[in-house]
Amino acid sequence: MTEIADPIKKQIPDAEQTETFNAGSLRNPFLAAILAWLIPGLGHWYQRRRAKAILFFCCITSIFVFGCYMGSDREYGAARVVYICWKKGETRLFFIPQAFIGSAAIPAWLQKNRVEQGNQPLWGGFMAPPNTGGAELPEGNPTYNDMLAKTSRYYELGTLFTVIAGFMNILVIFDAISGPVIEVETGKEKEKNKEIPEK
Amino acid sequence: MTFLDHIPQLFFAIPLVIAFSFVYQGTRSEKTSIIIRRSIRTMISLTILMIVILAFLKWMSP
Repeated sequence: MTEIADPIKKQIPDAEQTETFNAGSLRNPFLAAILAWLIPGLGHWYQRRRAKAILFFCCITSIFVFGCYMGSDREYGAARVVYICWKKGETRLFFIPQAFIGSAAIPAWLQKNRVEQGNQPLWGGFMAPPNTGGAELPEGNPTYNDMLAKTSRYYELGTLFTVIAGFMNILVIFDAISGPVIEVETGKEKEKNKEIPEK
Repeated sequence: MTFLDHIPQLFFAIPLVIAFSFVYQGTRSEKTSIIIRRSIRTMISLTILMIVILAFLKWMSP
């Protein structure tokens, strides 16, 4: 009896070939993770994965900056959607994902310390927490409701954008630590990948 | 409000959809060609999903 050839393997000669990645080849994953947290994409740049570094930096930073812009106001200051407040009833849980953006969220921590001591926020209120009704709060600093009333739905949109930027940077940090989560390619994809040669 | 009045709101989602697609697919492959192709596919899927959700919300609203 003659053996019947597998028609799929005939169409795709390298059917067994899949995308592989050796996670062990990554340069100091933990330093890369810290760098990726500090500035999105910096960890990948350090690991010499330059194309991905540029891609991540552009995508995440643009979303974060756009979110900050939407949460800004001429009177109250810029980027008021990113702030820290752990007071009961006014807890800002949105800051947890926002903090993963790294160095861009550090001014929020500085402003929180200033406002809690009753000082006026720096830089025209940039990333400063709103007044929460305490006794030793700076005058002129708006409350959360003031900011919401002034910036309308853009405040919520700005919060959403900055939160998603933070969540995306978590994915990037994991990618810097352990490399990509390689998907198993389907036969159709393999065929297409063979048509486009990788540089 | 008609269904068409909701369409401008979708424009706010465009940068999110583009950035999320690239970042998500960027963490799932190392090959540039694969990242680009899959990102475009993810963008299309997310856009369709948004339109379906919007249509469903419109259908649900009185």
